Amino acid sequence: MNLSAKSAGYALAAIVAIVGNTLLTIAKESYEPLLQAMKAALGHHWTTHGVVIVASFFILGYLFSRWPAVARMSGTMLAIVLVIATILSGVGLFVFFLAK
Amino acid sequence: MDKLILMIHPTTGLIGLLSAVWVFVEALNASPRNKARLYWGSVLTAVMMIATWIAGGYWYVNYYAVDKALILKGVYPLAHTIVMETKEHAFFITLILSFLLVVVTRFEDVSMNRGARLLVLTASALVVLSAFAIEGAGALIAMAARLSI
Repeated sequence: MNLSAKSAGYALAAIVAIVGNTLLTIAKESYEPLLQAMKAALGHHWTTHGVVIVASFFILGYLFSRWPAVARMSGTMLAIVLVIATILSGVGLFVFFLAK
Repeated sequence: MDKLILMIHPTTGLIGLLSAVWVFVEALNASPRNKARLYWGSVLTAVMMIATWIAGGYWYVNYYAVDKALILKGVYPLAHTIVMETKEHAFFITLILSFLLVVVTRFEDVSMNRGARLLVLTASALVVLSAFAIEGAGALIAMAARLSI
């Protein structure tokens, strides 16, 4: 049984936001002008980072839930991808700061 | 005052963690009778994670610099360079997962849809595990700061 468009859309948005969180961390820590721009935007890079990630989840969730293809996604498949994305993103953050 | 603010975020984070355990158990026993409890447990998890974000963020942005300087000069500088850096960014994973719980429990009948039930079980378990890791990381950072004084 497939999920509703809302649930599937926001699950997909969560996967993208979680992976995006790690990629944005690596990008800002590796590219000083981006870090400075994020500091300038809301006073602290972490504040800007959080707002960008949370906003991307809600905006992508809204957009994905209107995308006809999400109606074909099963909860089981999204759950498996969510686990893989979360583990890789969490481990990716740790390994990045370990190697930095 | 800064110590009070410091104590708020692990407390709300722990309440959010326990709420996610509650959601996991409700999803394991999903039926039409506990649909409302599943939803309100998810809302409580998300609200507590938002409170953790605001309280922890306020402390991190306004007060952490002193502890950071102490930790970097102390015996465990890795408590900042690896543990804190990972913790402050990994928290957003937990926050997003808690938001997802609210959406899925609001729009799905978890007792009838096996895939939705698996998604709620998975997301709530990931909230619990990641929040445990973050609470543990916080304890390590606090210990490193104390040992650096």
